[in-house]
Amino acid sequence: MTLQELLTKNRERVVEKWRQGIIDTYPVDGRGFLRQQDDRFANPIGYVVREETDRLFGCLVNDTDPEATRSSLDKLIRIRAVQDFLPSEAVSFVLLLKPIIRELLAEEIETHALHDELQTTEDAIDGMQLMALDCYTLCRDRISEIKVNDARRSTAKLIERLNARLAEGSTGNSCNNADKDNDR
Amino acid sequence: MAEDVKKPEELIQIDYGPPKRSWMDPTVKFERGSYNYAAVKDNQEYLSLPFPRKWQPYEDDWQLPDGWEEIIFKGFKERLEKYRSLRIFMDICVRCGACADKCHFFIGSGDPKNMPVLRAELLRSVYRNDFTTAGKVLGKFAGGRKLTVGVLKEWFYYFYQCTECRRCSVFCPYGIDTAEITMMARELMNLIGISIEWIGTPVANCFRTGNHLGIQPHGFKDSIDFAVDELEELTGVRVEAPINKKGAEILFVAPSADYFASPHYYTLLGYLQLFHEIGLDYTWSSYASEGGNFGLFHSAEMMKRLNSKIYMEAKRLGVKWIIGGECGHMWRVVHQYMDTLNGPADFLEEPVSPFTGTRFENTRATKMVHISEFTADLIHHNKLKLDPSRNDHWRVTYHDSCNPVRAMGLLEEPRYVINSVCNNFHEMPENTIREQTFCCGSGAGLGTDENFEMRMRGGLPRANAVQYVHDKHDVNILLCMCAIDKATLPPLLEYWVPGVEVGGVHEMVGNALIMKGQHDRPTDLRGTPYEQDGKEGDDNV
Ligand code: SF4
Ligand code: SF4
Repeated sequence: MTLQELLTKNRERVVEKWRQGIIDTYPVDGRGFLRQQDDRFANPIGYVVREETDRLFGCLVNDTDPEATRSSLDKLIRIRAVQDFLPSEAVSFVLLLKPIIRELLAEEIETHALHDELQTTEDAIDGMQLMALDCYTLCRDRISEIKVNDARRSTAKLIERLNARLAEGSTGNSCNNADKDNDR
Repeated sequence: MAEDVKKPEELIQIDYGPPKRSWMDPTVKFERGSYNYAAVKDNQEYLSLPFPRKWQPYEDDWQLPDGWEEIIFKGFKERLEKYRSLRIFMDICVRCGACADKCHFFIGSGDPKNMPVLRAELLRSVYRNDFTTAGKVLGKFAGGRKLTVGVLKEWFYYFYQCTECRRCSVFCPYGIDTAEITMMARELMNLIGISIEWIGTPVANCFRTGNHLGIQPHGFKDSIDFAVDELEELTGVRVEAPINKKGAEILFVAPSADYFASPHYYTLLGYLQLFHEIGLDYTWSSYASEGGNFGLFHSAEMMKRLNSKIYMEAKRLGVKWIIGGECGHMWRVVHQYMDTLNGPADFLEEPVSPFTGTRFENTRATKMVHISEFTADLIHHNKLKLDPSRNDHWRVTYHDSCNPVRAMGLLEEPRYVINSVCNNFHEMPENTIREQTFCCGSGAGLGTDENFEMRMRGGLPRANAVQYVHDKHDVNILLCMCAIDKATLPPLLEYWVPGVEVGGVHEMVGNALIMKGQHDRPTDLRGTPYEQDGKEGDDNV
C-alpha cells in the first residue's frame, strides 16, 4: 500500500480531525455552531472550513494544480486574516495536518514502512504552509489598498467639484469644512 | 501584540483546550481593527454632553468621573421606569437561544459575546445584580455582576459591535429587541462621557450645519448645482433643483452622502431626473440637508433633536408633505419614533401623489413618503417612460437595507421598481434577504477605518450571499437603499467579492428613464459609454 492509497482510504477521518482542529481555534462557546450549522448562508465560516479542507486534502494527496491549492487556502485565510488571530495563528492550521496524519495512521505507516513517502507529504504540507503565508500577506495588502480607495470614495464628488472650481480659476469656499481626514 | 511573543515551538501549538475563562469574566483586549476611537472632546462640548475629555479605549485609564457607577445606576433606574420595554427585555428572556446564531458579528467572528443573547446579558447581568432581589442577595450565583471598570470596558467593546440592525429580534419568540438594549447601554455610557468619534462628530455637524460633514448652505447649493450641470452634460436636459423654496408642495430630504460621495451621487442624479420629468413641485432644504439620523446611535435626545430639523424645515418652508430619499436610519426614526418624539406633524397634509391621486395612508402620522413607494406608484400608473435595456450591462441583485426592511416593512416597492427598470435581476438566497437580510456590518456608527477588520467580519454573511449570485448569475452590481450601505458595501465587496459594484435603486431608475428633450445619452449615469448596439462594454465592471 502506498501512502497515497492510505490517505485516500482515510480521507474522511483525517479531514474531519483537521476541521475540528481549525474550529477549535475559535472560542469554545461558538464552536458547536460553526461545526453543526450546515446551511452555507447561515454559517459561512463553517461552510468554508468544511468545503475547503476537503479540497485541500484532495490537492495534497493527488498533487493537483497548485492554483487549486492556492484558491482553497485563499478562501480560508481571507476569513482568518480579518479575525482576532495573530498572523501565525491565522495560517498555522495547515501544519496541524502533520500530527493528525502521524497520529491517526501511525500503525499503518509503520506496517507498510511508509516513512519516506510520509516525509515527502510533510514537505508538501510545508509548501502549503508557505503558500498560506503568501495568501495572508496578500489579504493584508489588499486591506491597505481598500482603505485608501475607501477614503477617496467617501468624498469623491466634493474633491472633484473642488478641482473643477479650481480649474475654472475660482477657488470656491464651499468645501472648506469638509476636508478633515476623518470624513467618510 | 508584541508582549505575546511566543517561542517557535509554541507557535505551532494549536489550542484544543477548554475555555480559558467564563463569559462572566469581562476582560477585553482592544485589538487593532475591532473598536472605534473615542468621541472628540470639542464635539462633546459643542453638544453640551457631560464629562467631555480626551481619552481612548486602548488606554488603561479612561479618566472616569468620580462616582461614575452611581451615575450609571441612577440612569439605569430612570430608564427602567421610563421605558416599560426595557424592563420587559431585562426580565423576560428565557435564554432559548433562538437569536444566538442570527447576528452577523457572531456568524462572522465566532465570538460568543456577539450572540445577541449574550450581548444583552452584559447589561442584564448588571440589572440582575442591582435591580432584582435574587441578584442583590445571591450576586454571581443568580447571574448578577457588579459594575466594574472591566464590565464597563466590555460594554463599550460589545455595544459598539452591534449595528442595531434588529435581525436577531426577528427570531426572538418574545420580540426582544437587542438593538434597543444596545441603544440603552450606549445612553448609559454617554452619561459618563463615553461615546465614539464617528457618532459624536456627525451628530455635532448635523446639529450645526444640518449634515454630517458640516457642509454649509452655500456648499450644499454648490453641490446640487454641480449635479444639475453634470446631469445636463449626461442627458442634454437642464433640470431644476429648487432649494429653500417657500410654498413648494413637497420637501425632499436625502442623506447628505448622496451629494458628495460615490456611488451615492448617481442616485442623486436619478432623483433629479425623476422629479424634473414628472414636474414635481418640490424643494430641497439647506438645513434639512441630511436625512441620516446619527442621533439614533447616540441617545433618544439626540435622535429627537436631529429628527426635528426635518419637520421644522417643513414648517418653515410651508410644504404640504415630505418625500425622503434612499436613507436607512432616517426611516427607522421616522417610522418608529418620530411620532412620539416630535409628533404630531399636524401642520402637514396627508400625502397624496399629485400625479396618480394615490393616498399614502401608511404615512398619515409622519407625513413622510419613502421615495421607493412614490416611484413604484408612478410606475404602476404608467407615469414614467422607461427603457430597462439601458441597464442591461448590469446584472443586478438587491440588498435589503436593515432599516427600510425591518423597521418599516419596505419589501415589495423596491423590488417592483428594480424589476421595472432592469432586465436582469437575481435575488440572493432566501435566508439572506427581506426580513432576514444580513446587515452591511457597518451601521450604527461603526463604519470607521479603525474598525475595519470588525466590519469585514460582520459583513461576511452579506458578502457570502453576494458571492453566491455573483458565481451563479454573474451578478455585477449590488443595489441598496441606504447611504451607509453605499459607503460601506464597496470596501466589503472589494475584500470578499471583487468585481461587484454597489449602486442605488434610483440610479437604475435614472438610467432607464426616458426624458423629454434628451440627447442620445451615449453613457449611463456613471459616464460609461454604451456599446453601439445599445449595450455597454464591460469596462466598468
Ligand atoms: S448587530 Fe443586529 S443581530 Fe447583532 S445583536 Fe445587534 S441588532 Fe442583533
Ligand atoms: S430569542 Fe429572545 S428569549 Fe430567546 S435567548 Fe434570544 S432574546 Fe432571549
